[in-house]
Amino acid sequence: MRAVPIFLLAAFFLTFLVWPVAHVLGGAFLVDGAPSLGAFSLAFQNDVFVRSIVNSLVVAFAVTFLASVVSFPLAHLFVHYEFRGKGLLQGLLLSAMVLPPFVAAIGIRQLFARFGSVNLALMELGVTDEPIDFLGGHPLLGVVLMETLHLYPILFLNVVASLSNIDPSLDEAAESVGASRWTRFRRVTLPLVLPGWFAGAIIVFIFALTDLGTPIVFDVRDLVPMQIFERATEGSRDPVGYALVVIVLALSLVLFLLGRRAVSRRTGQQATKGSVVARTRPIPPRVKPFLALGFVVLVVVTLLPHLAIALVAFSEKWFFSIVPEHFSLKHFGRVLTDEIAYVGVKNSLIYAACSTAIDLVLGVGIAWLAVRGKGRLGAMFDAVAMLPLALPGIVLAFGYTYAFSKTPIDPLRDPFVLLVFGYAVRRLPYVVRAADAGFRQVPVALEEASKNLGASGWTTLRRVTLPLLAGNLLAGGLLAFSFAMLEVSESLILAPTEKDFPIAKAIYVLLGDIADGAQIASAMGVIGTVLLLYSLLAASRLLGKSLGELFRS
Amino acid sequence: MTRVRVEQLAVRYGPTTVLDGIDVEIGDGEFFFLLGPSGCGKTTLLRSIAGFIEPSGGRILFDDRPMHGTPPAKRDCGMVFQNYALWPHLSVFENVAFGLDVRKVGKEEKARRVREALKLVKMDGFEERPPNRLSGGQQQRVALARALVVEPAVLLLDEPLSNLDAALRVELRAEIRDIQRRTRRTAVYVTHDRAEALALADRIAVLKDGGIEQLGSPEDLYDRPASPFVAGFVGDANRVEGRVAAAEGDRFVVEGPFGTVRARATGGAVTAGGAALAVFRPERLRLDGSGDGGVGTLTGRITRRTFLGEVVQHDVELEGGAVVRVLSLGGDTAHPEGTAVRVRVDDALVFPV
Repeated sequence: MRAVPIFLLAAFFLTFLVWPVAHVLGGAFLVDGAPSLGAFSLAFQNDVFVRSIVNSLVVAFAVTFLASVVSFPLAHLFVHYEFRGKGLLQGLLLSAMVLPPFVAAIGIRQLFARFGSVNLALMELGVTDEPIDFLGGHPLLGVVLMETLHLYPILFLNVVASLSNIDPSLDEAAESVGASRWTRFRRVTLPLVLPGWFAGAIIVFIFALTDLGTPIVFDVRDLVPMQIFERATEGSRDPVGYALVVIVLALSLVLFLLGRRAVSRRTGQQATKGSVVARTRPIPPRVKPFLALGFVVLVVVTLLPHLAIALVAFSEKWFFSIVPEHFSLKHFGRVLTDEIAYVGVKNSLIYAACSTAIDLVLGVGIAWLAVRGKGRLGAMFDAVAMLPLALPGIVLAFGYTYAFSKTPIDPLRDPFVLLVFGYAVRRLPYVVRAADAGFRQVPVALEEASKNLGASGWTTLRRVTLPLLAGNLLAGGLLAFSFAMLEVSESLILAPTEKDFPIAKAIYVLLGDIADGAQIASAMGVIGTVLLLYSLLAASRLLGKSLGELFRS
Repeated sequence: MTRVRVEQLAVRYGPTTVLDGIDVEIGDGEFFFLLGPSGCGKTTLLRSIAGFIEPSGGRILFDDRPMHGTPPAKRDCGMVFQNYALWPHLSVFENVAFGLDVRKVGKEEKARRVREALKLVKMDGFEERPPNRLSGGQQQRVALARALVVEPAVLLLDEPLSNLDAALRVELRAEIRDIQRRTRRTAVYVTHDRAEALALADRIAVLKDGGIEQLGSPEDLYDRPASPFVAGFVGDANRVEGRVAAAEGDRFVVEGPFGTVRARATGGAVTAGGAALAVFRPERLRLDGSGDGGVGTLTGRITRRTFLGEVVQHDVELEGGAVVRVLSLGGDTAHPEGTAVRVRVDDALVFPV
C-alpha cells in the first residue's frame, strides 16, 4: 500500500531532477559517445568563458561579503537590543527580499542611466556638465550592488535565527566566570552563530553566482548565467555550454554540501531549547545618533529601487526629467489590457498554483517519511528534495531544454509541464522544510493518542496532524507560490512562445518595447512585489523565527 | 472485562535488548503496576501492550486473542501519556469527544458521555477551554477523561503524574485509585515512584535491565523482597556485609564487624558459612540507650541527627565503620549527635552475596 506513493516520489525525482542533470553531465563528459574532458579544455581556452567564470566568482564573493558586513551588526542589534522601529526594520528587510533584482534593475536603470534622474539632477545643480556613466563604467558593480540589496536579508534572517537560538544561559555562564563582553562574543556567541551564517552565506553565494535576472537587465554579458542563457535559447548543442553548466552545478553542489555539514555539526548543542528568550537591552544613548543615521542610510538605499520602480509605474511617461512630470494609473490598467502582460499574469497564476499544489503534496509526504517514517528511506528523500537549493535555475532550465527536446513535453511544443514541475522542484525545499519543522513541533504522542483512541491513520492525519501543521504548510505554500510567480531563469528559458509566457518573460519582453513597455513592466513589478511582501509577512508570522532557517543550505 | 497476558516478550533494537523473557498475567479489573528505574524497559512494555511497539519475540494476548499485527487503533486501549498529549487545536470537550467521534457515537450520547467523563475527573465546566489554558493537573485530568470516555478494554497510564508537583501528585493519585476502583477497568500503570506504586497497586512488577525482578503485592515486595535491588527500590534499606554464622530453621544469624543479627531469607540461596548481605529497614530499628547487648543489638555512635517533623532520622556509625539510618517517631528525640547508642534490629533480611 505504501509502495505506490514512494514509487511516484521516486519517479518525480528521477524524471525532473536526475534525468536532466544526467543529460547535462552526459553532454559535458561524452564526446561522440566516448568519455572525454574535451569540452572543458575547449571552455578554458575560450577567453569569454574564462572571463565570465572569473567575473561571476568575483560577483558572488563580493555579494556574500557585503551582505555579511551588513547583516551581522543588524542581526546583533535586532536580537539583543530593544528599540523602536524593530517591526519597521523587519518590513524593510522583507521588502528588499521581495523586489526581484530583475525588476529592481529597471528602476535603477531609470535613476542611474546616462540621462537618468541622478545625472539630470547633478547637471541641474551644476556639479557636472557631462553625464556620468554610472552603469557602463563598472558594469559588475551595478550587478553586485543590486544583488547585495536583494540577498542581504537572507543572511540577516539566518544570523538572527542562529543568534536567537542560543540559550542565553550559555552567555550568562561565560559572564559568571568573568569573561568580558568581547571574550564572550568571540568564544561563545560567534562559534555558535558561524554555522548558521555559513549555511545562509552559501545560499547567497549560489544565488549571486547564478542569478540571471540582474545581468540580463543591465546587459552584462560576461557572466556565467548570461553565457548559459544564450546557449540554452539559441538551441545549439555546444559541448562547451554543457561544460559551463557542469562547472556551475559542481561548484554549487560542493558549496551546498559544505554548508550542510557546517549546520549538522552543530546539532546537539541546543539541548536546552524550549524556553529560550534572549535578553534584550535598551540602546545606550551615546550611540543612538549614529545608529539612527545608519538606519536612514539603510532605509534609503534599500528602498531606492522600490521608489524608482513605483515612479516608473505611476508615471504617465518619463523622459529626460528628474522625476516624472505627470502621474497616472493607466499602466496598472494596461497590465490587464496589454496582451503580453495579461497573458503573463494569467499563465503565472496557473503555473504557480499547480506547482504549489505539487509541492504541498510532495512536501508533506517527504517530511512525514523523514520525521515519522522508519528506516532510511525518508532521510534519503529528504536529502534529494533539498538538492534543488544547490541546483541553480539556469542549470535546470538548460537541462530541461535539451533533455526533453523531441519528447511530448518538449518546451518548444508546450512548456506547461516543464514550467510547472521546474517551479515545483526548485521550491520543494522550502515546503519540505516548513512541513518538516511542523512535524517536529507536533509531538508524536499527539498522533499516538489519536490512534490509541481508535482513529485510523487517515483520520489521525486529517483531524490531528494536518490542523496542527496548517500554519507551517500555509507558510511554505505561500513562499512556494510567490517565488514561483516571480521566478526568472526557468521562465526566461523555457517559454519561447508568447501564449506561454510567465510574468518574468513578459516583463523581459515588455522592457524591449520602446513605447510604454517599461512602465507596464514596472506596474507588474509593483503588483508582484506587493504580493510577495504580503506572502512573506504572512509566512513569517506563521513560522516565527524559523523563517530564517528556510533559507539555508 | 479484559485479561492481559504477556508471554516471553522480547523487544530488541539491533544489538540492544530492551526487554527479554517477560511473562505477566494481568487479571480482569486489576490495577497493575510496572515499577523500575529509568531505562529498565517499563515504558517499552506498556507501549508494546498499546501496540506502538512491535515486539521482536513473544506474544501479547487480550483475553485469549493474540494482539500481534493489530494496530494501536484496533486494540481498544485507552492511554494516558506522560506529557498529557492533549491536542492544542481542540477544546477540552473536543479532545474528550474525539474517541467517540471515531466510534461514530451519536451526538446526544456523545455529549452525555463526555459530560460524565469530565465529571468523573472533576473537570466539568471546562468544556470550552483550550488545553493550553489549563494547569498541568487539569490537563492530566482531561487526558484521563479522554482515555476513560471510550470505556477501553485496558487503561494504560505512562507516568501520568511525573510532571506534576508533589502535593498535586498525592491528590491526583488518590483520585486515580478511586476512579479505577469505581470503573473496575483493567489498568496498567508505569511509574518510577515507589510511593505511587505501593499506594495504588493490586500487584506490582519490579523491572530491572529489561527483565522482571519480582512480581507481587505491595506488601510482598516490601516485606519479602526477592533481591537487595527490590528491597532498595520499594523502600529505604540499610545494607551491611557479613557472613552467615548459623542457620536456625528459616532464620539465619549474620555476623560481621558491625555485630550480629538474626535475619529472614526471602530470596536467593543462603547457606551457613557463606558471605551475606544483611538488609534492614530504617523504620524497623529502635535506638536504645541501654539494651542487653548480644544478638540483634548493635553498638555505635550518632553521627548525624535530622529532624523531619513527624519522624527523626539518625545516622549511626556502627563498629567496623558501616553507617545505618534509623527512623524514630517524632517524640523520640533525646539523642544528640556524638552520643554512643545501641540499635535494636528486630527484623532483618539476608541475601547471599
